Amino acid sequence: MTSIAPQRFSRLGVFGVALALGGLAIIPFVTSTTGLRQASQIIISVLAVLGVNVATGYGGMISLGHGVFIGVGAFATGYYVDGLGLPWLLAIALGAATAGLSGALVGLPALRIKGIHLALVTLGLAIVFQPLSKRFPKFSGGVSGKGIEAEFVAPSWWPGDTRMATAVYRYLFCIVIVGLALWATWNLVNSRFGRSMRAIRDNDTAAAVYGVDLISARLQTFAVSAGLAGLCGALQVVLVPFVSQEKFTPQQSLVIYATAVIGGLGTIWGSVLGVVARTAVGAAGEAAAGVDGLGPIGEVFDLLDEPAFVFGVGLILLTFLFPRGLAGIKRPKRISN
Amino acid sequence: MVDDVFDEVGLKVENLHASYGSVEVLRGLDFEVPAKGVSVILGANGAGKTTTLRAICNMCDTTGSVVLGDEDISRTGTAEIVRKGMAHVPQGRGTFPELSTLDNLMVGAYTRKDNEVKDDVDRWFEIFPRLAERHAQMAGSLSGGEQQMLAVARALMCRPRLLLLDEPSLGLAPLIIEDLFERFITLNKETGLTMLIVEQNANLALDMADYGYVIESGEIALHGSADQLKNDPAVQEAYLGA
Repeated sequence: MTSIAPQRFSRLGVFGVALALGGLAIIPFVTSTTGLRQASQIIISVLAVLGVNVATGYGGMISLGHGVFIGVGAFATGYYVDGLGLPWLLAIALGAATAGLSGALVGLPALRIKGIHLALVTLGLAIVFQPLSKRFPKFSGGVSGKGIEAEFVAPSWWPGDTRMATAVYRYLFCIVIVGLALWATWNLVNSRFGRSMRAIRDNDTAAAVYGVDLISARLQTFAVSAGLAGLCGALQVVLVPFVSQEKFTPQQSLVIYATAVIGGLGTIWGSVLGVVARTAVGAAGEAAAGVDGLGPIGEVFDLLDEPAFVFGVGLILLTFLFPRGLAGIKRPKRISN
Repeated sequence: MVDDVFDEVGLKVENLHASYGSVEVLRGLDFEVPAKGVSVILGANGAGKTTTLRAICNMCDTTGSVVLGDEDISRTGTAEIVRKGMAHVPQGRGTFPELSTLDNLMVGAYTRKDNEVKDDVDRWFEIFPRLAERHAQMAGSLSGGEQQMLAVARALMCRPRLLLLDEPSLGLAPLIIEDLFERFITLNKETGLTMLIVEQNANLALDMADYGYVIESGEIALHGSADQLKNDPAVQEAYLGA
């Protein structure tokens, strides 16, 4: 009889994970506290992309507004740790849960509308979020934002309490949380619930015929998706004890969506690859900004001084070269039926 | 091997009307699907064949009575009807293209809580070995014939008592169709699973069926045993190309 073994990591996957962990282990030795914080911020952005991936890649519901859930997670965590004086770990968990709850509310329209219309609703939400959050200074600090008094420091058993030691602790904390989130999400999408989620994405009528409850499945999917983005927001507060609506622009939401697509929707590793590619393209833009002395054609290349230009072109190229996303290269092409 | 899986149950439809908005498609159908038998509904395009299956599953506005076994299901929701043992393989198959073959089968067993799901997967993989070969492949990359087998196997995963098949031959090459229909006959003979098949391919359908109905403009125009229909001059002229 054919063996129906559960999905396993490929050799390439194991190699990739080993390579990534090796790279992550080196970073603390070669950078400053600032560099380490920036690396941590890139690492936690995987969570938001993973969130989009769950909703869009696995659930088939487009979200162009996941920056909102990062914002809710950040504001809520700041409030729990400062306003309510909760311990950090609890505040982070509750912050993510609050974002998840808000995601379920936002998911309500997703029960009735699909595709491009849902995309517009979530984009509208992303646009509304900034002016709206200014009106709630208790959580957001109003227009200018607010500092968080409580500081996320290493426990007493951690060797050293210098700034560098604290930065390393936060860095490792973020890696562990992101690793756990990737593992948990991988298990979720391969569970019975994950299967029903993907079945709805492919053909909701057929899924309903086999007894899948479309309403609760869609709401749960959106809640998990928003919770992951909220976790990203909570960890932002861990790294920088300051919250402000300024960060949660509609453009940020769009970039998160683009990153999920570039990495490959419907694959867990795609979320990681997408962030790697986005970071590389962004860094290329920053590096190109310093290039000078190109002579007569310098006028044209002035554009390279604009990081946004290089970033945008990078997005376009990646989309053309890898239409299924970086992690989707090896997937078989779909033959229409 | 598979004899103990299915109960024997028939279907009785009386005065079934169905409409989409103000357009009435079915105008009072009466027919019976005998337990353990294979019944077939023939008819031209637009006669109401697909609507008949949809109406039985309560997927459109209907009046009239539909009795599965001894239970009236004309007011029961679609998902609940599936739970009561009626599986519907829709036209165009409706597999989940980006789920693996195995995952497609597992969704078919979504409502089951027993621990024999894996056994059933093995069972249908044995009957449809091509699916076993492709268990990890995405359904969208299967051929049309394989997808049809997958759609049937997925429907069987919910252990139905009655299987509705909507034009299983649609878009398949003649050789594939013959192979598929032979599998249906084997399945019916070995398990006693009651089947109701809607077909345009009247020749093949009447070869495998016990009983047949011909629908014209939303009404039953003719009915009889498969042999009777095959020898009926009107059927021969209109559907068998004799």
